[in-house]
Amino acid sequence: MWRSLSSEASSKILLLIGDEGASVLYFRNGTIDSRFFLSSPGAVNADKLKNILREDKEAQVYLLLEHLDQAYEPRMVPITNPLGVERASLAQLNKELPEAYLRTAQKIKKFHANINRDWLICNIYTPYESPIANWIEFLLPFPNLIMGIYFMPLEAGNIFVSSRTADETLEPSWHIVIFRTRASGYRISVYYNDKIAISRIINPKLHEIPEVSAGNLEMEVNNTIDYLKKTLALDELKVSLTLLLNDEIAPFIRLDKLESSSCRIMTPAQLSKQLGYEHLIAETEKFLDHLLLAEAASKKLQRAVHTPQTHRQFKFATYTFWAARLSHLASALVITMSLYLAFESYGKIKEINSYRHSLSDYEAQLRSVRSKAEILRLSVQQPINLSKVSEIVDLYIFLTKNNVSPIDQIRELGKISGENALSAYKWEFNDPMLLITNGALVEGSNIRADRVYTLQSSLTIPVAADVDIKLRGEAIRAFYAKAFPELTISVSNYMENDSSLQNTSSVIVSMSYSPLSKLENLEVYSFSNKGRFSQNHGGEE
Amino acid sequence: MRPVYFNQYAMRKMRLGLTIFGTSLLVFLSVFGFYKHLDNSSMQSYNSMVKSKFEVSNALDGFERLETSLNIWQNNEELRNSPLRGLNIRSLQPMVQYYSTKHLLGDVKVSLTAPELRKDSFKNNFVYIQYSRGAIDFYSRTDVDAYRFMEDFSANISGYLQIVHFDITKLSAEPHSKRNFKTRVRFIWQELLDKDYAKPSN
Repeated sequence: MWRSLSSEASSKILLLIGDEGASVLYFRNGTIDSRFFLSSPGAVNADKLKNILREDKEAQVYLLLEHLDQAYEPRMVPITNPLGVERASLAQLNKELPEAYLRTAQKIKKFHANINRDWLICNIYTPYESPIANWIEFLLPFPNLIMGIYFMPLEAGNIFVSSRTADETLEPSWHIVIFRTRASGYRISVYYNDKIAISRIINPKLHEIPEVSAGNLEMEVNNTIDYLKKTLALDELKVSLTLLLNDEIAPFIRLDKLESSSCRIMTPAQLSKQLGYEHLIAETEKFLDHLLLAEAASKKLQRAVHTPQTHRQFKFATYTFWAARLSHLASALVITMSLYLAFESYGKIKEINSYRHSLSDYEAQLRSVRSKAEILRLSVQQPINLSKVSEIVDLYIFLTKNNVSPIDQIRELGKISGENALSAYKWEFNDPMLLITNGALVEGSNIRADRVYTLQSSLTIPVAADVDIKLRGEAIRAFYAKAFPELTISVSNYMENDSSLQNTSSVIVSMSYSPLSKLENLEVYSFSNKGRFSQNHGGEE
Repeated sequence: MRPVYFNQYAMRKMRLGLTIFGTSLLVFLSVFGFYKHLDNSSMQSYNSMVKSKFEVSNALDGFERLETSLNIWQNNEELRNSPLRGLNIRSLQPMVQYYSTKHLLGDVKVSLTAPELRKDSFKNNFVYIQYSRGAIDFYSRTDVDAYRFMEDFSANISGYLQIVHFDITKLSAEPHSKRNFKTRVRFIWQELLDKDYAKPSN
């Protein structure tokens, strides 16, 4: 969250706060715009900073602490869960320290030498008082957002690690750095890889006589190594040493007097070049302030602490920032939905046009039909009730439709049989007074009824003894099939000797007809309670 | 006085975000309102179209029916001249007698049920169907006599005759006998009855 907020800023103001004053670096659009030193917030040239703050209200402010009164306290913490190490250490620190302290903790390493497998932690804290309080009070009235308060030695671990060459990144992992800032003076810091373990300001008067200063520095280095050995309970400790000193003191450092296993001495200008800042620091420059600030501006800082006031300000800014982000997302969603609805609206417009077009077509058709109907009414010469006529005709159609009769069959029968040729004829037509089937609509009528019926007839035709009964039967079947193509006709030979009719055999012709087969789409209802129909066949049950 | 946590940068971002969101919301609401308006219009247009289509269908149907009815009415003199008085039962007996004599039938028996009105789902705004179930039993010399009698009976009876059962059986083959064939016919006889004419009797 912090990174997101930070990355949004195009300009930053970084202050390296020390006991002697504060070094200021104004970073704008990715480049260093200005850098200067202020002895105090009330200094004469503080107006320069005020102007920057007034003009660039969106510039974010980073405060890096480099003053004397900050403590770095290595401590063993018996913790099993690595994720809770720092939290537990901070909780302990909260008990020990008054409320008005800025504090943080950084785990350094899991200490294998100890039988309890404790973690080595560095507790870092400083009282919230001058000079920090003075600078915060100076900055708070301005609209610029204070992104956090950082401990410079802690953050510098990253910078010094990145300055090491490939060979130096190998063992040993303990690393002592001595550098000098204008804001505070000489500082000695011990890192395990890039994690701060110990840091303190060396006597500010050191720099007055170079030889003495060099000797004191040697002593400080050796004392620090001894202190580290005691703290870690080790007899031997491999330590690499980096001294960032200018040419006044560096020649007087006696490397053979140092207990470190390796040592390199660089000027601030050399380090600046190594880190890619060609013209940031002059060759004769003693102080590292601006290089540290420039690196802090370009790197991800590790740990921000806040006062209650800066914390409220930061929280408000963070919530506002994410609310703005969310509103952007919501806007994108709403715009997408709007586009979709616009597209749908276009479809609706086309739909409405289509409906209106169809409507005008139908209205034209309606006018045409009404006009035809009117012409038809006018064409009737007699004054008659058209509705009554229509009903009479409907009933007429209903009564005459499917009005089958056996007379046709009988007439055909006479043609081939001759007079008195048949012995029996039976014709059945299922009751035409059938209950009306709801689904059927009589063609050309408003009467919803139909005659669903089946027809069965059979006749017995005697055959003379000298006639081949099979040939005769086939001839009769062929005749009826031709005469009544809609009937299903079957012929069976009846071989019983009927003495009364003096025939020896007969042909029985069976005929059946079911118009239901032609009414596949007709919905035939079952009237099982009256025993009239079955739904499948529509025939009598 | 401005609170200490007020921050120009954050507020500018917030203002910008809210402005964009508000504008987009306004655009959405406008588009949504427009869409709803179109949706309602579309529904109304669709309903009007369906209603109009239904009216056209009804009008066409009515027109075709009217055209068919008039066509049948004008070309069917018998139907046009029908008195719509229901079953003419009185005319049945002389007619049967006449044709049974003509075709040399014997023992002709005619029976009818009392006339009834059909209670089917006809609209019956003007006309009823009156019907009666009937049966004719008779003997004949030949089968052809029986067929011819039935042909004449069907052709000359007023109204609509539907034969439902026809059974003819050969009894003998005597040349001069009137009882060689026995025939039984069951039928349904129907006729149209003017509603206004039916009222006084009902």
